[in-house]
Amino acid sequence: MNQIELHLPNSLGYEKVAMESAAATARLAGFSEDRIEDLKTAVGEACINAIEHGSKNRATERLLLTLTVEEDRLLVDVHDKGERYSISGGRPDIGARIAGKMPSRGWGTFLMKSLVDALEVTSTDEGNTTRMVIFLHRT
Amino acid sequence: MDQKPLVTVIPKGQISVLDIKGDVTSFAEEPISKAYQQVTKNDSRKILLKFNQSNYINSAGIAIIISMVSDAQKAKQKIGVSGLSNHFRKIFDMIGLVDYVEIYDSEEEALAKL
Repeated sequence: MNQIELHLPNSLGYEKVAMESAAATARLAGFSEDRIEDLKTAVGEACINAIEHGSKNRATERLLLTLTVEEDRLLVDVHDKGERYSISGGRPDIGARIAGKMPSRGWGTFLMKSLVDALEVTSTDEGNTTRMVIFLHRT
Repeated sequence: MDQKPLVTVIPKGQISVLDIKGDVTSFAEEPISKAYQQVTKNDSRKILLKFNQSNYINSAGIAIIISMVSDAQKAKQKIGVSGLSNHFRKIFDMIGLVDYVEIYDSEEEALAKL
């Protein structure tokens, strides 16, 4: 098992550093380019959630990205030390958004759930961890 | 660091091309909205969003595009999209945006068919 830890500034834009690190790790582990693109998008959304909803854009805090390479899968943990937050459920209604009946935002969790094989957010008094699992070969 | 994409408005006949260079994230709201307002002020009925020079869209960027499509529907404008990477296309399919915009493989095809 190989593990990589990366501490990132709690600021929008640095999710791209997390995305590229995850992509490089997945490439080394033999993931296909289309799976790597899925992973990058999901990792970006997890970081944005942590920055905006967990640590509320506070510049004094850091995000911790942990990448764990296993034989047939990659585990990605995004941890912040901010306030508890929960993720929303199902598929957002694009029709209602196009009709202007509700705000157009709210796609992050849906994208993460759709693009990785497993997603779990754990919140405690010490912060929040988003764990994503992506298999080398999608089942 | 400046994370705003550059959005250039290029009139091509009856179609206004919005050429987006850079990431489509929350930082894209101002340049995309300004470009849309400019072409709407000029009474453009057909708008092509060109993504050839854009490699990253996130949920906030998706929301900006949805908001623009929503405004365009109210203004009876037609929106086309070209230059999508395979991953962008997958995301547009996934969220259902393909039901509200016309997708073209190239700018040339869009200019001929939009």
